[in-house]
Amino acid sequence: MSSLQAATASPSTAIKVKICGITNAADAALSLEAGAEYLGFVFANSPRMVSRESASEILASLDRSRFKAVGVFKDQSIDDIVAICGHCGLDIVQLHGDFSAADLALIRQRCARPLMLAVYPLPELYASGLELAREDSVDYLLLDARGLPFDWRLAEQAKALGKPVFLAGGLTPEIVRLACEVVQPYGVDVASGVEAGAGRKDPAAVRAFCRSVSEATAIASDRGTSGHAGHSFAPRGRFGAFGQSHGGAYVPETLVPALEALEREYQLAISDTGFQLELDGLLRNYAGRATPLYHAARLSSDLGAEIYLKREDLLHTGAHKLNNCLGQALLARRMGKRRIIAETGAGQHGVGTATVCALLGLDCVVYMGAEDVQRQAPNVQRMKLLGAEVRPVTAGTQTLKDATSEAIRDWVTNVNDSYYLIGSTVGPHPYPSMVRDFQRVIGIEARAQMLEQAGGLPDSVIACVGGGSNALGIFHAFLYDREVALLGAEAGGEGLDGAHAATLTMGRPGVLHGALSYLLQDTHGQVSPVHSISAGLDYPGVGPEHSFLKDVGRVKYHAVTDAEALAAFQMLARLEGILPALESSHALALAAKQASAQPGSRILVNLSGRGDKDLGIVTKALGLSGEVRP
Amino acid sequence: MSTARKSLGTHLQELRASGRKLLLPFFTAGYPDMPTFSALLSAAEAAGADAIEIGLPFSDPLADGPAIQLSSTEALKQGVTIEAALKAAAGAGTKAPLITMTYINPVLACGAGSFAIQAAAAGISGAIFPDLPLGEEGAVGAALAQQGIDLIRLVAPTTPDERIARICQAAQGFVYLVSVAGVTGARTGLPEDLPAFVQRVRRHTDLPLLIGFGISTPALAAEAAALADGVIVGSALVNLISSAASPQAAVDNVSQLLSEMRGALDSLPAAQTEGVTP
Repeated sequence: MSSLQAATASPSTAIKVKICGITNAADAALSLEAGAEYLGFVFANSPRMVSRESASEILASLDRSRFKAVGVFKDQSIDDIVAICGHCGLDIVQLHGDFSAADLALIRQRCARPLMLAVYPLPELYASGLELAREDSVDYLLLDARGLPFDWRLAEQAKALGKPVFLAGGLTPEIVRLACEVVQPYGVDVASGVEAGAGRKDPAAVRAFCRSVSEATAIASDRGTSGHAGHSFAPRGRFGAFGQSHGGAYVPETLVPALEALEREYQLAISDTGFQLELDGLLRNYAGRATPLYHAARLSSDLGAEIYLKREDLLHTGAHKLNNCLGQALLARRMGKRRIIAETGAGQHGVGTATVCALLGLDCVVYMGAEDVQRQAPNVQRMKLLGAEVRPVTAGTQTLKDATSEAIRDWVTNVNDSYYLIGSTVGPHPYPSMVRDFQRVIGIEARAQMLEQAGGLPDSVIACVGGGSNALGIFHAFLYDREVALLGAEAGGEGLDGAHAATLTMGRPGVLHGALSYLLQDTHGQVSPVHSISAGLDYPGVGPEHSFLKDVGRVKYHAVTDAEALAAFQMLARLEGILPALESSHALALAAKQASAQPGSRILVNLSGRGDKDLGIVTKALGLSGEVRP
Repeated sequence: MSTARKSLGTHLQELRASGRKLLLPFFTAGYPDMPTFSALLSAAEAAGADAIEIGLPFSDPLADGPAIQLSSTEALKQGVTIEAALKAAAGAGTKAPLITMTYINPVLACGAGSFAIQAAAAGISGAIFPDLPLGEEGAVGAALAQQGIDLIRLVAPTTPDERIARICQAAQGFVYLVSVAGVTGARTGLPEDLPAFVQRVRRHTDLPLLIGFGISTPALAAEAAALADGVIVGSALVNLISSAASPQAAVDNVSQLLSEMRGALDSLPAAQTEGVTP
């Protein structure tokens, strides 16, 4: 066995790259040059299949000491596998499909090569796959949900076998770094994620993939300084890979050129020092950044955990929304647009937009559901005082969803002179990425503040998720901190068997407002009516990046009910003298649960907004339920 | 599969070659109710429709103005599904090609492959998706192609020439020219830049060019059709249906408007804009 022994899994070694589906010598050479140490040749039926003759020829042209040649087989006869292995002089035999323990032993003995067993992290297949992988004849595991992204946390069970694990399935240059950080696998495997076309590798993608892996490796060995390096993993607006990737731009043709122009201008702006300086200056001197990180001592002692609040409620206008409004308004001005359109739910984004429009002298039209106009009346008054026109939307459910549809209709009609200033990480590309980037400042500050004030990273970071901008804003700086749990609080409304807006918990992927993402819908694809006591979370969709983060398991999403949010609202008011927004109260309620689950742990909560706007709802709800304590 | 039909493109091109301007009415499936919808299809054909666009209702039609929003909401209240709509469309027994118009989400929910199979079985020969621009077709494009259903492309006045070229290259059946930046809805005039817009598209394709959005009267229909190969009329018809005193009145009023439009198109001088002008 010793001569065949695979390398032992060690977290300190650099993560290996396996480029799979090599069909020609040029792709093999470029993969090795980029840093790959394993090359996969597919002998099974596949668009990337090679003959044993071509594989031999390619292998003969390469320096065999620099890499391991892996032969990929699926449901082939043992005789074939042995013959091909000998013919090509393979180093490792990778097996997919139905093989028994006896088959594996036989193949390993006859090939006299280490075996790599593909294990499918799918509910019905994973346990039996891992069982088979325990066999002595199996040297490596390859985790692959049949080419689709899967919950990466499942990799822990595979790693627990103590054998090297290659992570595969849906990896791309954009997401592999996150995958490496989260899973810390022995190696990563990619085939279609770096292709220019069927069976042809894209040299730039191969290099980018290897670079991302080495960056992850570098950071893993230098923990404590990570998290600041910003990057987007949404090329062409897609979060994830293959058919299930979320995002995109499902919009009327009329808007396509405007979105393309917006993306171009955004790219120019963020690399323009003048733009950055102006935005930084406004964030600091006008909006009041950096916002404080506050250790909530009484709340901590009440909940039995160390609770830190990122005080976005102290930002000018009372919520994190202004970060994004300032960024986009500067962009709009740069593009020569004088008229700004926005949608708003709770009114915080509407107020933020009205504020920046006043600041920059731009016309402002805000669409707001008629029901929200009622329940968030103070914000309507604020918008009007700031000079904005508020247009109540009476269509459909008269909430954020319909306000967004109406804003898009306005934009499609006035696309030449108007800028659509979307308020969350939703909508067509490039909005989800752009809004996320404008909100990332929250997490960048919070991470540094935690290190400075608390002396270390939090154990968990919690934020509420409607569209998801405050959550992505704080999560992003911690994405690569594997030990930090990220938790999103969705609107559970009356409970998951009643009316709610728990999109990620209860939805299915679908297209609303220009992006593919989880969506609350009926079996016919009609968007469901939703409910939350919090107007800002009362939305049937969610940002596509959240859908991706849910799929790969990096963020866990939980539904928090109206009642739990109300209780958390009162808790913060009484213990800390802070009235939180009902949206943020959902995050606080989840923090209370997390404190019970992990007593003594360090919990960072994004207090995304203040609750003045919610006084009417809260007093009414508490009055009706008779829970107002003296 | 129903009886083999001529491809949508061939059908429309033959009509164009005969000097006829094309008239495509739009109806929301199941509006005002399913029997009247079926009657509307027959009436439209009798009034001279060359193909008929059938709106499969979606809860959040963001490319549509108030008229079609209202009709969609009403149809959904009555429980109209893709299945029921296609069944009614097939059952109406019209000879004119049928084209679906719906947003992408109901189709994804149904499954692209399943939708294409059901649509083909109902005799649908083309499909329009207002929120599926070039580049986002994914599995839907392939599924439709497999069933021989044309994916109808839209171009807008904002579409740059380079993109128009790419859209036209991918186009099948006909090209849908969105007359104006905006949502669907009856309008009182055509935009000034429409002739130039039609010319920009014409340079890139010989497929029939049909103008939609805002065509509300026979005069506007004739004016638009004179620039291109025909028109699509939606909101104006939906408005007639919404305001009709009875289902029969809805059918009568729609028949009358379509007949007048047909007349206006037929009295245009014979088409001279045929073929690609290099």
